[in-house]
Amino acid sequence: MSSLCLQRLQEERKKWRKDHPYGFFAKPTKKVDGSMNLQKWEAGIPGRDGTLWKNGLYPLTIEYPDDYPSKPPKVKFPAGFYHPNVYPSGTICLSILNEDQDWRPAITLKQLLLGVQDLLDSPNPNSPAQEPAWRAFSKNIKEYEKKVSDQALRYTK
Amino acid sequence: MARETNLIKCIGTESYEKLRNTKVLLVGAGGIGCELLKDLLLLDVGEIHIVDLDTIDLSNLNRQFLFRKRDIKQPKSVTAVKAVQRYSNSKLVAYQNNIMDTEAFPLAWFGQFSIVYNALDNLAARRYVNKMCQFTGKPLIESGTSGFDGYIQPIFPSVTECFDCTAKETPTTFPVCTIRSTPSRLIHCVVWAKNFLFGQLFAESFDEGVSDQNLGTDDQQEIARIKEETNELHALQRLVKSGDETNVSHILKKLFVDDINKLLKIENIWKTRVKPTPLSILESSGNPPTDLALTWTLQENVDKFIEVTKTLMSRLKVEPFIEFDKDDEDTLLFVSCAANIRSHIFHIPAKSVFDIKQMAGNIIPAIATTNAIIAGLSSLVSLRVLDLVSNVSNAPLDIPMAFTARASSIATNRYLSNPTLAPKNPNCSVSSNIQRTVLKLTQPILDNMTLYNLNQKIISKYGFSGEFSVLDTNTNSLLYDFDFDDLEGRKLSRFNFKTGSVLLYKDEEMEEGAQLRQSIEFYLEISPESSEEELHLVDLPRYTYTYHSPYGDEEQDLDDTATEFNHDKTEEDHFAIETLIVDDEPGDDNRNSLKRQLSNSVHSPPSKAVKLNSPQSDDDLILLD
Repeated sequence: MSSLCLQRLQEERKKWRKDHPYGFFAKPTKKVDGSMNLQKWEAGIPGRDGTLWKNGLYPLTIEYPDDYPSKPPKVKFPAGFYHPNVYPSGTICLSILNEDQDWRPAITLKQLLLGVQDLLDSPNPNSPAQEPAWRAFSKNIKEYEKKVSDQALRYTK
Repeated sequence: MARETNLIKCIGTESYEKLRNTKVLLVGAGGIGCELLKDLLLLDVGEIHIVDLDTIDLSNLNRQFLFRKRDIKQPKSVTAVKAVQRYSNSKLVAYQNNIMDTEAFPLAWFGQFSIVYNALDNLAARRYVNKMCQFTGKPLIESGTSGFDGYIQPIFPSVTECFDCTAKETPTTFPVCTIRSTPSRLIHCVVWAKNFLFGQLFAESFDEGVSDQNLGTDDQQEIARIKEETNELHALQRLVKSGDETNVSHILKKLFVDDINKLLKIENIWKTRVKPTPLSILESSGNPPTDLALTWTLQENVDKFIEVTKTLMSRLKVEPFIEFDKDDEDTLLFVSCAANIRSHIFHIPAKSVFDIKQMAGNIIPAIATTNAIIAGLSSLVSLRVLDLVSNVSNAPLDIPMAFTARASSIATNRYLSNPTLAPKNPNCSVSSNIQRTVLKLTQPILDNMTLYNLNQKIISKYGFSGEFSVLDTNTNSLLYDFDFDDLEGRKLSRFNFKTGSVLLYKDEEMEEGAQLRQSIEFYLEISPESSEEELHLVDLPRYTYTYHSPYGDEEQDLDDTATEFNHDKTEEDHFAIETLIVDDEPGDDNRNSLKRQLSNSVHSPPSKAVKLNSPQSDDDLILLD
């Protein structure tokens, strides 16, 4: 890993500690030897009030590649997460997470997590990543809403 | 006339004598390394140590001119030395080892050389040698070539720009969505075939199923669907492992008909795109093609796919797994045919196996002439770096680097540009705001001191603020910081410290404009045989620097458009040089770690070149040798 990557991740940690949005958490994971792995974080995103997602605190893993921040981190929900723009593996299809699209090295952890929070209640039907949630969202909104609410309960804050 | 006569005319007797007493390190005995070894010993350099991990491969012989066919599979370093021994006036020492092996090459070993020459093919080793030179203060001549392009860059530690002072180009990655669902260029299909399909079918052993609790749903239908999707791949792998050749048609149908039909069901994707057409040919004509240089028809690709899948299936009976290797023809044919069939489905023009080999293997031609020019420049400039040339200023900032004009997209009528070296980048975490020293840990110290004890000694000795962090930079593990003190009570002996571990102590005060103590990197020397109980800390001047958050005072919120998707953005049609899927399991990247990864070899010219850049040309990125 480049020292730039490490330096930036320490900076991210500092910045997050100083200032992060209410209800969110984010921290590096621990390695088996008890030390902290700055390249792999776990985070929680609260559903926004007034949306179907409001009751949940949704877990994420964030993996930073060696050439971060030139490359974006890999951000995943648990496998099988119900959302039109989340692949069955949990990988999120979001333009700010794609190098070829809107990723910029200056994007901070806070911006990134707020972006994902945004995505929860404003799915993009033009970029489907899984069939069931996409289908329900575009064809059967009642079913979609029920599934999302059920999922929120499983990830209760 | 003696060989040194002209050299003495150029640099004088005194400098020549100095050169005779100079000991240098050459890292790499490949394309540039072979040339450089020859150049250095024709300069009569007193002693040359040459390190290379690799063995000789057939494909090296067109340019690594010290090697012959009989040398294939022999170590490069040793063979190179043997090849030149008879006309060498220099003492030559060869090592077949990884330069990053701290047992073979501890810091003190680097300290014996007057100068280090990098003739490497990957970023990791370049960074490592750069850092060792920063530790020892030894000048480094960095170099690289790619096709007709190349560069040399002398590095004076903590004075001129170091290897890490400028950002390096890294391989292009592709969005998962593009690879899995909406390929628009052949490279997307090649990536799918190589990194996704081939890996899933032949290279990996699957975990057993998906466990229920991490699915994030209790809906039985939903669980069933996810399991199905995962299990389908398991099933496909089982078909492959079964060795039953009649299964090949199932595989063909699943990949190129059923999966495409599933994709077609997601109608929204296709509102703005041309729909893929599921494969219509599922039977072999019984007449697979053989000419790898031709672009095959769909039928020919199917024929070959069926044939080669059968071959790979029978290989799996004796091999536990098969990894993609561009030189393993079966794997290449599989990837090539699968990519071409998929490209047909998505209405993308097919290419020949030969073309796809270049895409899948990230091959950039290595050219002997370029290597020779770059090695020549490297050895010449080192005479100035060693201060052996009179009548010119050999001050670090007066010494030139060199790079080819084309590599930097400067349209001029000259091949080489050679500006003087740039000063170090004040924001570079390798060459700036950091001090380096060695920390000796004896057995009694390891046994008796905790991390807390060590931290306290270091903080009070060097004057860090209360907010600091400790990082093991070899394993990238955070051992302590303001929010993490779990390990403070642990004895040093219980950490996996070894000689070569590097601990980074960093001041983490975070008020904008605060005066931070310069970071210190400690290269650990573990001496278990020593009974010394006292920890010795070297005196270092206490320098500070002003803290600026890299984000500025307050980051701006992303504007809304940034979070919108825009898959339809026209992709630049440049030749993609690397092929990583952004998705998928961690560990993928490590599978080939034993093989030198070409994907690590990407490098751009140093900053002077970059600053002058207009949009970068397509082929200026990879420096292989």
